Amino acid sequence: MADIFLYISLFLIWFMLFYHMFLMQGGYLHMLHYKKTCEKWHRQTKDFPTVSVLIPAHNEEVVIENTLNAMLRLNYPKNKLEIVVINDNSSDATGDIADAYALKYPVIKAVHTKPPNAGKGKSGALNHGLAASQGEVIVVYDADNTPEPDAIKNLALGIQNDKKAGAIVGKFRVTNANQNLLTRLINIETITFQWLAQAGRWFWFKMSTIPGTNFAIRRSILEELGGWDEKALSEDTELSFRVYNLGYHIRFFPAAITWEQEPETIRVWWKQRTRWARGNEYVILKYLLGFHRLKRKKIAIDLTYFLFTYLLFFAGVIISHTIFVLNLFLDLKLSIGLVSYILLILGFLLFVTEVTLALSFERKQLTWKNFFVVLFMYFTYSQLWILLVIYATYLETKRVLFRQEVTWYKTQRFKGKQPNENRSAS
Amino acid sequence: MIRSLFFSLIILLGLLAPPILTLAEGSEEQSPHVLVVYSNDEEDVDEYQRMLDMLVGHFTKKIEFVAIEDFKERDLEETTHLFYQGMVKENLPQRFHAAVESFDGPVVALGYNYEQLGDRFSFAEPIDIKKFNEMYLASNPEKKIKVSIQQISAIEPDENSEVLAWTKGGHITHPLVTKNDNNYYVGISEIDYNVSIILAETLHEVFQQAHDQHYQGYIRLEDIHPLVDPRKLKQVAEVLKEKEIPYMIAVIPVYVNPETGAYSHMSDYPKVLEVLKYMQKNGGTVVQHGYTHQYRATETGEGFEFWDVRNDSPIYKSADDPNPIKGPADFKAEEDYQKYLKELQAFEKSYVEEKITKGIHELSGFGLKPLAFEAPHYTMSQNGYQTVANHYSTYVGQLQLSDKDWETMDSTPYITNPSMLDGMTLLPETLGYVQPDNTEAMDIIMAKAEKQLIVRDGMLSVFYHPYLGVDKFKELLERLETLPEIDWIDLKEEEAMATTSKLTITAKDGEIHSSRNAIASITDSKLSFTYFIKNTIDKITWVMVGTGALAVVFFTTSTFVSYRRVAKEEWRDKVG
Repeated sequence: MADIFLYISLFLIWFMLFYHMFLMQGGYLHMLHYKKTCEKWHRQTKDFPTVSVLIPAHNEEVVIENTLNAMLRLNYPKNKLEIVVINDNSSDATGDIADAYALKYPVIKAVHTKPPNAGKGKSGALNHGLAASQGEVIVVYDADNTPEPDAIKNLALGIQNDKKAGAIVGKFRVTNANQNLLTRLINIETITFQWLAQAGRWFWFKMSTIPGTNFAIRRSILEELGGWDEKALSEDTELSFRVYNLGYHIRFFPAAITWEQEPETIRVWWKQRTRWARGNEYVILKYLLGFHRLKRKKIAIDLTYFLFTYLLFFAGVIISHTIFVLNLFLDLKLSIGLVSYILLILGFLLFVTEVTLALSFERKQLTWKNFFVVLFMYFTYSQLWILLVIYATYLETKRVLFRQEVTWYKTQRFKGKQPNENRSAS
Repeated sequence: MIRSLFFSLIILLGLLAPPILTLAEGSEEQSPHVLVVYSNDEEDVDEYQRMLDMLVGHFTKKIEFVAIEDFKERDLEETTHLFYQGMVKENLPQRFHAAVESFDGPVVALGYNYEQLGDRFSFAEPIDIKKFNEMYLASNPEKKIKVSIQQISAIEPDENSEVLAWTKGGHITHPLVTKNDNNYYVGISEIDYNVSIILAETLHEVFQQAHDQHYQGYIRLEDIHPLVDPRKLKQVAEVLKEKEIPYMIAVIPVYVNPETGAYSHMSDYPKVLEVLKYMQKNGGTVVQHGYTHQYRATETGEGFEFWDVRNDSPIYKSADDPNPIKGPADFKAEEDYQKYLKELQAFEKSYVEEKITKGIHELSGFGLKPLAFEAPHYTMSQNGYQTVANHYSTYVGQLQLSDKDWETMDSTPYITNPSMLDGMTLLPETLGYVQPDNTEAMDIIMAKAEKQLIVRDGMLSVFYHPYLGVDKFKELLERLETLPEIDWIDLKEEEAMATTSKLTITAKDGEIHSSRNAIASITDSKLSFTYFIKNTIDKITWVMVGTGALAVVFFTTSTFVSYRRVAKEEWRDKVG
């Protein structure tokens, strides 16, 4: 009996590990290729589309000024660019700062939302911004972002040259990576996530997930879709699915880079991640139940991936951990033997080598210090994810059962040092 | 060109093909019909008739036994060879005397009462009962078989007779087998194994079948159950493979723990199973050695499976049934007893049937294809053999010759088709085994082998317990190699067969075929299915290990490549 459970967990886990292996390969290959594409597009593109940058801001006085300054430094034809700050029912000085910048710089436009239709979340704010904007291409940035000067240009290049791309997703980097151990871990995680999951999926399946920030999408698509889903907690995953369903692909284009701040305390991190996990669970449920109605069955790839992450792989890990602990105290008469230990070690080595490979793509990231953090990460940070899924599932179940309304928790910002001077185009 | 090459290749292969096993020879029409008429104290044939059965079975499959009191003249209608075996002194009926007189085929008389058979046996003048302690063939007087002191009905043959074999006691010899025209007299009716050797050779003359000198033999690895040491088993298998000796593996499909009664199947010991499959691929053929090799709560390999030793009876009731088996005295009418006996035999039949069927299915589910049967400790009733005959074409070992006592068992010097096996071919075991604690174990085997060589197509067959280790086994082979060339029997080359209502396993020209495909045999039982799944999973996990390891290597290499690349770019940016 224990044998059966062990093998089930083993195969669930290793299905996921193999998929990650496969994605990492794709990520590596994309890393080798994307720069050539970028150079080619730079050479051949004469005409740029009009771009509206939407910046939803809810009580963002700590960071908004910085962000707007970065926007002003953007390297894009001024007559084709507008920056729309959506002050979403802020109770702090966010609105004033936005208004001041709008007054001073014609390229910046401030929009204010008021109750009762305000402050309900990012999706609502973005829909407001969309209505107030003009551009053919919509680019979204979080209020804590500092895009590199060429970011918009690269995103627009993608939209202009890849007609099948509904959206272009850029790369984000962490400004406060060296702040503490947590930000260091998050930094490693984001680099790996982007090169493994985003670049890997793009390379093999022409799919990647629209993140919350630093992406461009065609206005025509947003209009066709009726904007963002205001019920979705993670509006990005949800939007990605809808874009695929229209038959477009979503390109991961690491040449467009933005820098953002990551949570510096475990509490903030926990709340942010809970929101993401719940959001993804919402999407899984929505699309799993409505799968038969989808036109593009390609979504199944991502849906399976999410299903694995939040349910099957998760179950596998739980079973495997349980068996491991039980076996310390009881004789479970497991027949598996040596191979299980080898797989255990191999699983760890795969994690380490995949993460270090991803780190090696970025300048100054593959350091001895980071390498040891990676070793540490496997046993701590990565395991936190188990608790996170349990907690998020609990909350989502409660929401569905008691029909609670979703509330959007905005990630708390930190006043910190200015963006890392070492940012690069690599 | 290619075609002619192909053609000549076929011819060449034909020449190289090993000589085919010499079973009962001759085609159906020409093969002899043998009638054995016997006088004994029993109600049925006894062990001595069965010894004769085994001897005659080498020449024909058509053997019938008739008690002298039941003999009718028409019993001879199809008979080509008539045997009379006189175990006790008695007056023979006139009709038998007359029938012998008018019968024109060869007549062989053994033991008592031959003097009542008329002119045909007047060549043998009875003397007296004499003692002897040696026997030998007239054609091979150097090879004497030493025996403990025995008795013979000594005769004085007339001058036209030819003595084919002699007994010797001190300096005095007496004819053992005497030939006169086509009449033969054998001075002993209680045929034991030594007498069998003499008779085996002389019967070739009786049946006019001049078989070539051709020794066959086999090596059987004994008592291979799930708990044997796979390492030792593999070592022995490797020796046999290297020497290109085909062999038999006596497999017990289930090991029963004598204390707990728990069953262990081959699937529980995949390493043993793996070795068995290796063996099957490299010269070995599986022989089903019972199912559990026990009946009452005894250890597998030790217990009797098809004989109730406590009651010294066939398996007439389940092991935990406390009721005693009744005898004829417990019944008022003989009729009632016979009815009761039928029920007991029906029980035994279904018991044997179940064990055999389970065994065949279980082995087959694991990819092992049994082609012959061997009862544990060679014990089984006549009813049991007939039941086995419904499932197997070939029986390996010795035969129990009495339903009253399991210890009455013996072998015969050559391959045979005795009527008691109901169509099965017996591959007799003749040399015994390497006794674990006996320092002279090898010499005992070799002495037996020397005797076997007296018979032109004698069998040289031995069994070995692999737990004794590979060194002893090598020693055994070395000793056997000093004998004249032995043609090792490969069951896969015979027309051997195992069958149940579900499947039939056949062998031909070195290949084993099963009527059920691999998938069907796997899904036939939960046991084999579970094993298959486990085995597959095991392979998959190792493939996972391989792939995972490759990926780790690839990622590590790529990391170095990519790190250097990025560092170079950075440097270029700085400089440029």
